[in-house]
Amino acid sequence: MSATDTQPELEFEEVLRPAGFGARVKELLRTSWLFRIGLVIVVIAVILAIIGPYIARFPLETATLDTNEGPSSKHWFGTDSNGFDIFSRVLAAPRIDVSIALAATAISLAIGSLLGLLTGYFRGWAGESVMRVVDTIQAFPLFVLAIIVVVMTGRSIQNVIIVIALLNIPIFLRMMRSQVLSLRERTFVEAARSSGSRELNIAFGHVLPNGLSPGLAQAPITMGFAILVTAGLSFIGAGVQPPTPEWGAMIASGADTIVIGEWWTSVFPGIAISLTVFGFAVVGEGLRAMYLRQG
Amino acid sequence: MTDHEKSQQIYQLGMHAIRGTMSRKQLLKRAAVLGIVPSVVALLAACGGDSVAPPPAEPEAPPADPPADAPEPAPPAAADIGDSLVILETEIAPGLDGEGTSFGQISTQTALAQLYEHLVQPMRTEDANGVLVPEFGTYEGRLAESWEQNGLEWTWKLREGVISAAGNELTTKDIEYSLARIKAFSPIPIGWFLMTVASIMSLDLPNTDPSERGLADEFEIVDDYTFILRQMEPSPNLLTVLPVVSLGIYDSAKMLENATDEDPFSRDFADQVDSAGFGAYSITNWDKGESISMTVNPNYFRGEPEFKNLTFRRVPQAGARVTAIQSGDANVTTGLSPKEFHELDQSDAVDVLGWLGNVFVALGPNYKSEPWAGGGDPDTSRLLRQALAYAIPYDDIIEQDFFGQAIKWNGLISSKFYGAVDFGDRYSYDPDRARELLAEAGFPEGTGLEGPGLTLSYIAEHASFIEPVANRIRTALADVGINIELDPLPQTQFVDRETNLDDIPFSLLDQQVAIGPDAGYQSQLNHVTPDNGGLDNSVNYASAEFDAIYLEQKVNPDVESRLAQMEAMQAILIEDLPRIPILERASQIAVTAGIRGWSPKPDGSRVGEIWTMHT
Amino acid sequence: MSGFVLRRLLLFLPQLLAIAIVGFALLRLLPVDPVSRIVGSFGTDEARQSAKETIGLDRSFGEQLGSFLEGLLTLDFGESFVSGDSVRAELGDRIPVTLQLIGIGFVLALVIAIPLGRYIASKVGGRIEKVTTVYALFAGAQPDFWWGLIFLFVFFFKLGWFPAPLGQLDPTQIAPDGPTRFIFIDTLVHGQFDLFVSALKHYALPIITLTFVLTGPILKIMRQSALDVISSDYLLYAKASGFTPKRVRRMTARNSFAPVVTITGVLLVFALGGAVLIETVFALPGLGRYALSRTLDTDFPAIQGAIVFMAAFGLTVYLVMDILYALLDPRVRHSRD
Repeated sequence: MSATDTQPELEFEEVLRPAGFGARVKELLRTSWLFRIGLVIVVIAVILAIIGPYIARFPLETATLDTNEGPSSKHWFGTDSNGFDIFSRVLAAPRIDVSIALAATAISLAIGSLLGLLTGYFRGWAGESVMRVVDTIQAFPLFVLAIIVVVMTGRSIQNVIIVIALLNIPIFLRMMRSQVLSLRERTFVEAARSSGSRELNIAFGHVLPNGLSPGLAQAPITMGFAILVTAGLSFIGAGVQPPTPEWGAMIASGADTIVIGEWWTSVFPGIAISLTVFGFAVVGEGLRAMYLRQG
Repeated sequence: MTDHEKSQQIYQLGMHAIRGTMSRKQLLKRAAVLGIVPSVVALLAACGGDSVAPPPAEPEAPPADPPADAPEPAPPAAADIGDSLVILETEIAPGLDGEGTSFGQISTQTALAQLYEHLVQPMRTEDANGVLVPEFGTYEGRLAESWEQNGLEWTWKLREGVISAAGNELTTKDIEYSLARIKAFSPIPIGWFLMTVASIMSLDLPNTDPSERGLADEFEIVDDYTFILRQMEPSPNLLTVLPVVSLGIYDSAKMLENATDEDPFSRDFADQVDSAGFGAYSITNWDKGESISMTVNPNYFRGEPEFKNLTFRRVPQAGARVTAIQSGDANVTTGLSPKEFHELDQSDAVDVLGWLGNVFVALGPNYKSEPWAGGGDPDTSRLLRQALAYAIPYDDIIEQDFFGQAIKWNGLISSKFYGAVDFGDRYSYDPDRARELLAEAGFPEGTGLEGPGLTLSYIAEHASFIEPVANRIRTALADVGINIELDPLPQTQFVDRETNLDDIPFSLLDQQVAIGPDAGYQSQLNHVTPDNGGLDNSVNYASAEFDAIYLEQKVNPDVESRLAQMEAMQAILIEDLPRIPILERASQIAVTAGIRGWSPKPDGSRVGEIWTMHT
Repeated sequence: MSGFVLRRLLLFLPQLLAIAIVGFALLRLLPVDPVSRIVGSFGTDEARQSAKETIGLDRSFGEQLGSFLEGLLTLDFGESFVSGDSVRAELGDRIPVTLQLIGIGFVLALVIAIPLGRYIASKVGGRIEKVTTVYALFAGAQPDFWWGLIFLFVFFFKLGWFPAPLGQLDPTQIAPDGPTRFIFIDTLVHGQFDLFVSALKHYALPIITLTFVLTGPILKIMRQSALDVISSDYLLYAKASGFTPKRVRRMTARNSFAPVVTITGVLLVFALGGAVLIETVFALPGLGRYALSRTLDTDFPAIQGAIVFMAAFGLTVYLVMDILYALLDPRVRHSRD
């Protein structure tokens, strides 16, 4: 797994600079086939997160006697050693994976942006020390931190959300802070200041909304990353407990048999993760490119 | 518990013994839970009695004729293996003293089985599949040519002309040395424990004072080949403990050559440097933690085996062992999942040998965890447990998850052991009955059930085959209204908590080696309270009635009435259900196609004695 | 320049100390109970007390921290609760495995991504550029453990090109004992070329997996930064000023490496921990597996040791990254000083 939090992209360079957000996204959709694919994947993943468990063709957690069957017309993706229908579970898993990603990203976006706003706006020793702390946290291998905290606080969905949220706060914090640093000297802020607005009002009323865009553009990428972390944790037994339908855990349950030829248990949930994270990454890159064009 | 962890704990146990910081009882208990007793008593189990009718076959040849074990059945496949075997194990023995800190390790027990000889062994006959099935309760002499019991006095005659790997002849001096070594303090007092079980030595702590190291009345030399052992009270266990791996007889001459003032019994030498036994093999190379190589002892009294050179290698991953045996890189391995054995069995290059011995799968609902505690009411607890027993789809588990290599367990004592009672279909899969009992217990449809016991734990490392069992049970329990969650625990933690800490609220026990030479001993191990000598009562079961009968049978010299008492004990168990018996599974070993003569042992060393293997 | 480096160096130790202390405190704040792990949840009070004494948890937090920090000075992390062995020795066995895996993986990824990134930056709009760009985006968003399994299925099970996931060597082979514990070095030191080749085969698939995933983001950044430099004002200025093509190329290279250094550092730190996934798939006894299994066993000294090493590694990477960055891009030096 790799962190995809990086620099601007130029795949979407054809995108021009129209006015409103909606219009800009439309433009992006029109010009970039990659973005269209990505958006379709993201929309499907989000829909499955809502309805996935209800459209399953078989019960999700009921052991049956149809064990280790290859794909067939009855079990489209085959069954695992518990006799679970893999197709049903692949569709139901976004309920866990995408929800965790969504919740964790929302939390880290909110807290990170707030902290970024404060440290950017109110510089001085407090802001500096927060930045040093962030530096230090970022120098630590985060996946191991996630393992330690999740295992020790109990392997539950809430704990996975909290940990992934914590891991991603520094990204949003930095983004917001650098925005604030440039925005606070800008004319509209100056204007607000000279018209007598209080500093806090300026910070929240003017700087925050304007500085949020890069964070929002980053959010899909962070969500993709969160899905990878969730699946990774479950894969090594440090995430959600079995038999919860979760892609990483499903891959793990087939890891022992893929080397003797029973490939379907691991392959299908893996394709699901692969496509989903790719979709989120594409959408994120697209939005980021759009934001950068906009300047 | 990892092997290493176990060694550490055993070592600490030794320290307790030497400092006297633990009572005898505590020592025994700790020794027991560390797997010393499990393996010991497992061996004891192999001689339980005559309740098992072994397939009619000729007993092993009388000891005097050398290549005796297993001559006939022709190999089904003409495997060209040569005279060397590569045996893959999960660990390699870090030490080789039968009373050393690594005794608890399977790998150590396996190595000792090749290096040392014993006075007697259980008799075995080779079945059609090439398995030397132990005949419980019958013995053949090994180093002993004959023995005679007269009250508390046992007179032994040693075989003459037995030569050790180092070239020294066996005499009663070697027996004296080996017994004195047991009586002197050792890092783990396993030999002392065994001789106590056999009622040869007293329950006093082993000698820690060098001046008291000698043997007293328990042992007497008559001549070079005759000696006398004296019991303190009658006990049927002498013959049953003698084959235990750590009671191998040492070549005293070689041992004394390597003794020092600080280490008069050559513990460092025997544990870390070399072996000094009369066994079929001796060590040629030993890379601790990685591999051991052995070559045949040219002087071995039973003659040369087919396989002259052995290499034991450490391959912790099951998948890797499967691959290696399939490709022919290795010849023998064990410790695989039922599925892996099943897959290997389909392969032309590999044969899977099985022996329905003493490995069981059971549920352990803890009496200290709700809801299984029944709020402290034994009747509620019993009803809940019985509901569990009726809710388990036994046949599905045996067929789907164990590929038929198991049988339903109809009791709480391993079915092959002396005194075991088969309760038939006392419990069978009957969800309606389970619902009734649940309602009777006050939890109709499962409403009101809560507590940590609704989380079922199993060994995470075994997930590939035990998790489907857990899910099958979870699904079946949900069907009757008991909703449980799963919580796989790392093996080290599971084993430690299960054997030592007794605090897993609800456990799915797998690969448990049933232990106890007979129903009485297995009860002591699993079901008796610690106060009355219970050793590994992992669910904290406490029944005064049960304990009372146990204590009576323990000192009952009358065979018939003792059998009746053991039956009465099991009648209580099958109603109380401290554990929910599910199935007994086969012990299995995978060998290169054509290898026969596997001699399964009920202790930890599933590989057994390689001397008996042949093509 | 030297002032900048000095300041970064001065920051290193406090940061390391901070992580070590926070890690230490975190373990004691989280709702875990190593004592229960030793004496059981139903253990008697005396048993709990004596277990606490054995593992030193009976002392005050300050005392425990004191002896932990004292041990740090000599890199002595104490003895594992679980194995009783020296944590330092255990780490010494595990760390080389992970470092070899990610070290070789990164070198390969850089060797592929840098030239390829520069090449496609000069071919914007071409077919190769499009395919490579999509690959770059795709690979950076992939579950490496799953790809590891897929590669195993294809290259081991189907094609038999690589050995089974057996760890570092075949089951029939024995790793040399020291001196470095890096199998690729030790086998050469002992002249065991057959073992060297075998280790190479066993590391091949895990390294390919890692490289496959890592090349994506690095390639993406390389392409981007090469494009930025090509279109930048200062390059235009340099060209206009009549700089020789060679000098222009050097300038381009130097300036486009800076972002690659950043992404490589970030990925490297993440990979040290993320390697646990690939180690699991290929049964490599690395640091990640160690940290995971000891975490599951609430083995405080072992976890602390792993945390300190990982923090030191991460901080060193970031330090080197900053210094390299400053060397490559003179603008940074000034802005950061």
